[in-house]
Amino acid sequence: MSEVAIAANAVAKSYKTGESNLEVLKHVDLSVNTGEFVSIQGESGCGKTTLLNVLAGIESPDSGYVSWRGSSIAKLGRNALALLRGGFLGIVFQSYYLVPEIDSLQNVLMSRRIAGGRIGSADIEEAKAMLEKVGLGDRCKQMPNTLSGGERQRVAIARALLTNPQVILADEPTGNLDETTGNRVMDLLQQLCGELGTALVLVTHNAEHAVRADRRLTLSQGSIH
Amino acid sequence: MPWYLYIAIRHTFPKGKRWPFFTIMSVTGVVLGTMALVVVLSVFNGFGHAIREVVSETTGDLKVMNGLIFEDYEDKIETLKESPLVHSAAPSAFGVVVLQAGNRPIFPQIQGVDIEEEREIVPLDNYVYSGSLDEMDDDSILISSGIANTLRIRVGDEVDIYTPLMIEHLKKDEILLPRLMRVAGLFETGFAKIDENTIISTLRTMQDLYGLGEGVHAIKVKLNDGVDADSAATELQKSFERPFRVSTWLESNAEYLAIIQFEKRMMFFLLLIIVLVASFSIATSLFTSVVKKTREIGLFASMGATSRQITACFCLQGFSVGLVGTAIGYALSFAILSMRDTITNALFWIIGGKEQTMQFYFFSRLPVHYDTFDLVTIAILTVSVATLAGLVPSIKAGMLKPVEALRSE
Repeated sequence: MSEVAIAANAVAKSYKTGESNLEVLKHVDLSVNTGEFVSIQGESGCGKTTLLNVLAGIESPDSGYVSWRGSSIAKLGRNALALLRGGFLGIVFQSYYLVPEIDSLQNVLMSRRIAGGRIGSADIEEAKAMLEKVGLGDRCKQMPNTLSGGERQRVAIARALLTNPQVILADEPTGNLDETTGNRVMDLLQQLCGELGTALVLVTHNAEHAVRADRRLTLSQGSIH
Repeated sequence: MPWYLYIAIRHTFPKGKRWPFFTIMSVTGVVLGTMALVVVLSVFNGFGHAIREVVSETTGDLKVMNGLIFEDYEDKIETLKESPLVHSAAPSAFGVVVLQAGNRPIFPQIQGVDIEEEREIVPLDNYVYSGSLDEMDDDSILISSGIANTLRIRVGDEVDIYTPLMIEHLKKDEILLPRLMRVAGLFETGFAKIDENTIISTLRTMQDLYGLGEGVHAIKVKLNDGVDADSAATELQKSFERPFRVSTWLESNAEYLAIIQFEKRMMFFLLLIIVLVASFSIATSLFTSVVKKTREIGLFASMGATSRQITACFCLQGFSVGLVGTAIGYALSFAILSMRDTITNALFWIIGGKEQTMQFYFFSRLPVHYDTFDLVTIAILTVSVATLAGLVPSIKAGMLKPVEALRSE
């Protein structure tokens, strides 16, 4: 029986907009098992990114709690949470967010640097192998501004996976890519998470990508359906 | 290397790319501040050092005086020479006279010395550039280059000397007759205070001119190599009863040296303003960097970076700007100072007035002395100011909430 990798328990989150209170997440219960692929769809502004941020611990819920590997993260301080996050999960953003001043290889190594500290030759070899897996073995020394959007997203995926996280949170990873490139990136993400046994929580507008998931969920009216 | 140091270096000095504009401006500010401090303070130290060397060489290391005239100087010299600290000692008398060449009078300082013993203390032979010390007798004098140039005196010329003693005779309605002296040599020590207005006679001549009898005003002492003047003065003072006092050349020229030290300190604080201005440029560029890199800050946080690490990342950018700026500043300062002759000659060629300036500042070339303490202080100060300048924007970066950073436009 698979254990729960990440879970949201009765999570609620609202934002103040002027005088009114916008309830984005009303009562979200979600649990994702190790190695499971879950997709979340929903209309724009329904709170998908907020849910991912809450799951990642970079945003606190108003009520309810998030647990990683069965332990609540609610009482962890900001720095303790950050340190834990580095080894537990990887995030893939729609806008890639590569560091423009360093090459592809060093961008991939950033997750290992932040999570683990010193980088040795074994880490470099591992990062090169990861770039090889995402089809960019020959682009190690290329700077981000010389890569296409699809290539940048593949570097971002390699970066997220290098620390062998238990969960990947992907926030519309193909949103900025054309259909063909988006499909390739999605194939890659799904394949690598499958190989590594990493749980994948995918937020997407793309129904074709959503149907690939083990479980297909929809976020609407602040709740998961 | 920790990630925050790695990113700080890469943000500030990207590999294979031109340095960002803000980095160039910030580094330039630190370079200018460092250069101003290193160049000016090294020249001031050079002045101080050169003055100390010249003063010690031309006046001896110690002076024994009682403020009056004393006659038993030979016994005292013997006492001094018995000390293992002392290399040599020589009597000296000094005062002011009127020297007249043709119809032009001048009021030089006169030093009466025992030429042979004085040679053991001051390298007189090295200073004489025309004539010879061997030509010196009780009817001849040595004249400094300044007087020789002003009165156009050459070796072999004769000059009239009037002394305060003669004026005393004049008060008694006696006829005032000057002492006719032959110029045996012209000298230049390199210390303009002496070179401008000094004549040297034999001790006997000076005793006659000033009516000192067998008396002298002071005993000059040269110490053995490596002996500290202050501790030697304290030790030798034990051999002399008050009112005799053993003073170092530092004490004798204390006011002069204190002015140089004061000027150096004032310049240090004035030039520090340049470093402070540079620090504002660093703070501004780091604030801009924090704004530009807000999403990157969110990314680092999402990958597990703590707020302290993010603060360190930006603070280290200020530090690296300070470090690189200081290093370049030092390299350029040393380069400028090593080419100072060429630079000052070029400046004087443009603006003129080289001779007057050199006369005023006593030296024929710009002196430089690197003081390790000063160099270390400047380096620590500039790097610290640069780092502190980056502290406020760095704290702002560290306090950014990851989710707000990621959502920023």
